Amino acid sequence: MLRYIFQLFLIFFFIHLVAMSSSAQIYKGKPVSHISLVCGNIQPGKGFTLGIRLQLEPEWHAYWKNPGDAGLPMTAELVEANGYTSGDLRFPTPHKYLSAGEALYGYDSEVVFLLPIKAPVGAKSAPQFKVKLTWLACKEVCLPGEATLVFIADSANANDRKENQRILDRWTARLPQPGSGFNLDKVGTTVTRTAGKLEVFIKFLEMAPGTITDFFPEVIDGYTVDYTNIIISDAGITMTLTPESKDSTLTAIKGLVIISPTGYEVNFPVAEQ
Amino acid sequence: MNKITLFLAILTFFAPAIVFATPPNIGRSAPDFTLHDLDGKAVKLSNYKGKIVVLEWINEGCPFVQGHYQNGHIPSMQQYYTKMGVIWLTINSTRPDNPEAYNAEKSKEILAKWHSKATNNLMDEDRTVGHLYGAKTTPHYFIIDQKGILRYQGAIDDDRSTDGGKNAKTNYVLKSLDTLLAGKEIETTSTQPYGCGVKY
Repeated sequence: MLRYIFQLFLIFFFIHLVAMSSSAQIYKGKPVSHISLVCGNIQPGKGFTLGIRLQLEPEWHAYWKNPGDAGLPMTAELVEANGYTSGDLRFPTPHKYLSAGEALYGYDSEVVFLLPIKAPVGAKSAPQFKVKLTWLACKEVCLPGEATLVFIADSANANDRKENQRILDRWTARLPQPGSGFNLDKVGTTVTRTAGKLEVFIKFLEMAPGTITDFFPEVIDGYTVDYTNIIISDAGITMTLTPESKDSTLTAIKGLVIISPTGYEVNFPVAEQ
Repeated sequence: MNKITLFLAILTFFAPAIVFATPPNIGRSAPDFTLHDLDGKAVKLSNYKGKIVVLEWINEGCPFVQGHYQNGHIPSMQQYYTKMGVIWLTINSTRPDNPEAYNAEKSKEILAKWHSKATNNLMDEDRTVGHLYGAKTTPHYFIIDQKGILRYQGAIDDDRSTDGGKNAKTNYVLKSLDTLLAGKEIETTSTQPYGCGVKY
């Protein structure tokens, strides 16, 4: 009985929301962005998802993992982690911003990046660590942001827990979905070399014309991408790549196919004939 | 001809001038241009034929540019390669009404504080040369050989951060210049530039 009460106590103790620090980014005395950590319920000794919430003032934006023609993505690193480790930062489906001959992929107003946290084996105490964050916010000017936020799991009232979980759920729903279940892996690709550049055409074999609204490529190792010239037509996706060197070999193009507003993760095998 | 037709006719006539130019291809002639330096003196690219020329797009307000200048990374490269006979031209294509646009005097003051050792610093206030070269970021580099052929375009290095190349494994500009000075062929001719967007 005593053991049962102790276990209940532990569960109650670990189900918490969170006390943690936040940080504001200021430009000429005015706020640009505000960054904070968001966490829902945590089970003792189990992994959980930590949200990194970036709230941006109007017209400012931050960047996806591939920022496009300019910019920098958010980075997150655990420090003084007490045995806790993190997985790859997960980026919600971004927007595309076109201006002055540039294409950028990112976010405005608000975004919550999701960081998977793994608990050490046999963890019994409440998670406590710091998260070092770097990001770039741009409007007419660009400002690098850097903050180390303290995460201390703490007791919180049920309303706060509920609200934070709602934020995490909303942004989890905006993560890219697997493309394989959506016929996006059924493609035919052709590569044409002209004047040292490659024109890649990706034809979807089982998609109705007009379904795909855009394509946001990830960085392609060994190639530069003309992000302003990614053309979506009823026939498929056309994009232009420039090899970095004679040794560059194209094997695949990863990215997000956008069927508005959702992004679908794809990995197209591509080879120069 | 009604007003709409007239407007469309005017738009069609001027369209080629307002469309962004395709960046020049590697291995082709670098487009010639004339720009004014911070003292108002005209500088023509083709006058440097016979020399290796580095075109470096900058904006003093950009944290990526600041990172490379404030730690002395770019000035030391400028100093070394200009002594080797390389012409190093910075070009600023920032729109004049941008908060990061500085007048010539302020630019001189900042570049002096950074100990810039560029051969010259050019203003591209109407942004035509930026568009002509398809400059995307600050910094963004174009390297031209002694025959006026474009040999490299892209990033300074592979440290895609505002840390000024602190964690770079490869400095593409340095490698390209050493290769050209040795009379050899550059291997990595094009990389994705990184930095702030050029404030056109």
